[in-house]
Amino acid sequence: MSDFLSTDSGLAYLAPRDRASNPAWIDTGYRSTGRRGPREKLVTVPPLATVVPAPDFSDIVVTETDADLTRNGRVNGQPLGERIIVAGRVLDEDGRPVGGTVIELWQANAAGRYRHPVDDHDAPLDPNFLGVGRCRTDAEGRYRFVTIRPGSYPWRNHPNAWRPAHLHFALFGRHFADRLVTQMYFPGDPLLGLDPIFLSVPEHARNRLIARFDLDLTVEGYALGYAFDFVLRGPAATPWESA
Amino acid sequence: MARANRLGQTPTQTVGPYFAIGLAPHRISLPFTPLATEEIATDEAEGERLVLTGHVFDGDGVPVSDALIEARQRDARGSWKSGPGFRGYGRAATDQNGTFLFRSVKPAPACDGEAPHLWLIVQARGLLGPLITRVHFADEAERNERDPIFLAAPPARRATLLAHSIGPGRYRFDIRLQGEHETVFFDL
Ligand SMILES: [Fe+3]
Repeated sequence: MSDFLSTDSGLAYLAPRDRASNPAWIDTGYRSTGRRGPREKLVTVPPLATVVPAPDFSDIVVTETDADLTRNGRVNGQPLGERIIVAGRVLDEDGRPVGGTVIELWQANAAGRYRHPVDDHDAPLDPNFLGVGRCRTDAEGRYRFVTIRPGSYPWRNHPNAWRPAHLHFALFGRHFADRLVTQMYFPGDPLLGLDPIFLSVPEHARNRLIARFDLDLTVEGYALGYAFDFVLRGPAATPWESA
Repeated sequence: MARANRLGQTPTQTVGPYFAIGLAPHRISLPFTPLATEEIATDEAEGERLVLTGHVFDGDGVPVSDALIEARQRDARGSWKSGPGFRGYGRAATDQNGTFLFRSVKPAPACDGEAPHLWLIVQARGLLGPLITRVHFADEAERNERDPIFLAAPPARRATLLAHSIGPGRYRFDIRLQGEHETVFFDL
């Protein structure tokens, strides 16, 4: 087949999403997937469908404060809770860094409460914490956030259901289809084995969502450090791979 | 499948019900500048104005009030590049009625073998990954019938990819996550 369209965005074809390492659309443990996950098979497309470029945010200024959630929501003091540093790299599956990409983060506060009108959990809001941050990777794909360790919170999925502590992340690679929205968890959380959302990931890939405590990222007298890398898709090995 | 020596791709998780904090802070009046809004293009951009609106429904036909939709399109000359008033990317969150709305300009196709279109990524609580679909215009039937990606959809389901005119420059595109007339989602 002709690949005349692939040159239009200057992008290589994108390798397929590794479905075997991703959750199924319908997950019996996670109730709301039952009426929301598609039941038809995803439709196969020609490789040229993969060369749509990710949005260009190169003109958007991302400041150091944007990446420091202990500062970007201050009104009259510091937010409550345990300060942490979460840092790592964005790589593609061939190990190449994805530089200049914007990572967005949102999360609950230390008490397990989101600053969102729909969250009715009876835990306090923190006047000095928004729970949103943004960071751009450097040329080596590195990023770094300073934030507050989020609390666990209850949800209505099943009796006595609690989410393990987690951070929500969203980012793009070079391709629009290389969208990654995920959640990062903390090592040793006793709720991990009980959480249908975490357990929706096939067992062999679950550790990819758990950060690693890292003494080198830890800042003396200030905050514990956690390392977490994002691995996006790479270029297709052949023009046919994604067909 | 996975090639040897490759790093394992990070699995996806749901955006959950509170994604507006991170991805659409303006929708909940959070004092944090949004990275993108429902304006794919502003009035400054060259081209014919386009408003794209619709509903998201679940498998019971119930409106989904917490869906995030991201849109990506070419400009009025068929280019992906950002330009004055044009980013070619927007984000909308559905409201209590499951309605979303984008403001843009009509995209132009890049070549003869392509129909004008917008790519959409749909995410929500209860979706464990991104669903990717494509908006074609019902009044571009001739071009649609030559577009290889439109034609990749099974004939009986192609109608789910069509936006219908509801007024000058206004189109409606409903998204059905599941059930009868489930929207075509592409394996991307
Ligand atoms: Fe959450």
